[in-house]
Amino acid sequence: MTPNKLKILIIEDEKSLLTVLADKFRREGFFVWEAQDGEEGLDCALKNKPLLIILDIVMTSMDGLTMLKKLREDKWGNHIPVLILSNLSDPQQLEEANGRGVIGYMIKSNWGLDDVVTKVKETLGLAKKA
Amino acid sequence: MKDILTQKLSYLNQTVLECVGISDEKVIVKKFVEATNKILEADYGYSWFREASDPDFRWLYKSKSTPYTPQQPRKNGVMAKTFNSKQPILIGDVFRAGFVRDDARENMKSVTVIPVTYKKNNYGTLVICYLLKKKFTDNDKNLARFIGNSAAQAITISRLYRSIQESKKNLEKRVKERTAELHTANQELEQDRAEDEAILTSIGDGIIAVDKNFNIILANPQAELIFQQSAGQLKGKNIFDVGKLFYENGTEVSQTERPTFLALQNGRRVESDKNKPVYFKKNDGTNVPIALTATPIILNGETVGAVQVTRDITQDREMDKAKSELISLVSHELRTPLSGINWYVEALVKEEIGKLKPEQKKYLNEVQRANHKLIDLVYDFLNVSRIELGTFNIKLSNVNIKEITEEILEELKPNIKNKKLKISKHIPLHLPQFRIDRKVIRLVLQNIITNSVKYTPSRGKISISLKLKKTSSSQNILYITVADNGAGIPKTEQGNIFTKLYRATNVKILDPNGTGLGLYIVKSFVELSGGKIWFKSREHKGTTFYIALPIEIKKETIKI
Repeated sequence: MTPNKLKILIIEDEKSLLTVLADKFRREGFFVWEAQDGEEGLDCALKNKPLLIILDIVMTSMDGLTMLKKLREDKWGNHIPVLILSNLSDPQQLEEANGRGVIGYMIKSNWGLDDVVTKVKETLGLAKKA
Repeated sequence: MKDILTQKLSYLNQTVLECVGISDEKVIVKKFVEATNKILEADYGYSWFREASDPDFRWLYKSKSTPYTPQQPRKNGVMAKTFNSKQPILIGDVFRAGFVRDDARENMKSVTVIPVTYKKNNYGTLVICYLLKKKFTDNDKNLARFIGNSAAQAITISRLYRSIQESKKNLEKRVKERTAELHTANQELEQDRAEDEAILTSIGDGIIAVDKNFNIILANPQAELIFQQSAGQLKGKNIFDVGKLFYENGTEVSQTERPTFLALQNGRRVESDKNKPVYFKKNDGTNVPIALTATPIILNGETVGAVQVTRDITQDREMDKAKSELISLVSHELRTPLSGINWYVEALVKEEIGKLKPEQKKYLNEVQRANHKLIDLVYDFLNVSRIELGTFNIKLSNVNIKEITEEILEELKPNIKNKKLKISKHIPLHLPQFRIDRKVIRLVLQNIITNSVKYTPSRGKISISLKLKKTSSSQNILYITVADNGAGIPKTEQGNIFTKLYRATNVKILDPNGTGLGLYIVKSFVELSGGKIWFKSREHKGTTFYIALPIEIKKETIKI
């Protein structure tokens, strides 16, 4: 583990998407934990305390919104920035996510990898807002 | 003498009386020939009749003792003369008279030709013959005239009688026919009624008919079921007292908002608003979602009542929800692999994985472009499905419209930069916070601005302005105007641009990849939200789109 790298957690149940995202962030110099469902993600988050979490919504074992709710119940997890990255464009989900203090809600198919990286960097104060 | 004459006249009267009720003219003529033979003490007689319209006489009767067969009378013979003059001709000596035909002359010595005539009616002649010569007197002539008159009267009566009989027969026939028709009509009516009743009882929707005072005159079993009252209980009651309806938030639907009221008042069919569901509260406290359709009953141009069709839409709504969830799921499932392709190709194209040959890069760019088109299509599919399944629900939330506009412009940044487009925004600094459907406003702005960016040439100008206008105390309208100096819409195609899958010929050249769904979706979304969209455009000069959307304003003002 390299101590000077920024550590993030990506929770995404679609393996191919998880891989391409994680690889991208690694190329950008991040340290990345990968989790494939909400339960695994929650465990990993509470154990490793990443700087930021990228979270999918639709997952088979514990969906993203449930995971988020549980995360917010934790003292540390209450403040951690979470970026929702989902393909659901249902405004109800969006509202629910907003209610749990997320930094953004990105529809996967609308954004490129670079856009996701930019958003994360902005949040972590690594890049100027456009 | 007088007694004999009296006898003769009474005999004649008797004969007339006997003829009453006889419709066969031949029988009457026979009676008169025989009676006249007797009265005038002649040897035999016969009769010819003629219709006024017919130049020829027709043979009617000769007495048995007639020794020969009389020939068809001549046009200017004695018979014709008698008929035309309506005067009896009495010839005492036919040989001397000279105008009786040879065949007749051989069989008679004298003859009395009597016109059968009375007033306007002229029927024919009676020919009364004698085997001996006679000396006729004026009395004989008067008697002959009288006999003719009597015979004519009998014939007139007979003809009248016959025509009465015929009219009676006709009348009977017509009565029979009409009775049969009525019977058939009744049967059909009963059949129709049975069919109507079968339909009415078996139909899945509650049907209630009201008169113009909204009193119930009819209710089918399904209506009994929905409103939990028997048809007998429902009849006569005011429809507004029977089924109180409520909106989702619990407020009662007022009489004047109800389709049945509106249908009766306006004389046209009215349906309840699909986006504003109404509920009927059952006795057990459960709320049943219902849809109402009211149709006026119009008789001779006057609205005399209305029919209210009540449909329990519990199942429909479950179906809608299931459909909506399915579409949402399918579009999510489709987008996931598309996002995968998008991201992998992005990493490749940007040469993050390794250097590419120019040809490889070109090909991957094509893959990415096709993939983006697929992503767009999935979005359009989702939206068109929502519109066409009617599962589009307006959901108002606090929306920061300035932020949405910036987001959209951010997405379009590469294109705007490439084309060096000049974008000007006219958004008021202080906008009151308002509630609007987020997906509607985003989709509308995104489509209209994207079109402007796509179809405006390099160094073109695009202006986006937002304005709020108060129309009444509760009603506010958000006006969105997006103007460009781009390709414009050809005048002949301006009527089609909101049609599903339609693309104007000039934009097909500028961007062959469009789907022709964008403006159709925009218009549907705007109209489903109660808004309006229109445009002004000139080819090669530019296009301005105007959108008006009703919004809900919160009291406090916020700074955006």
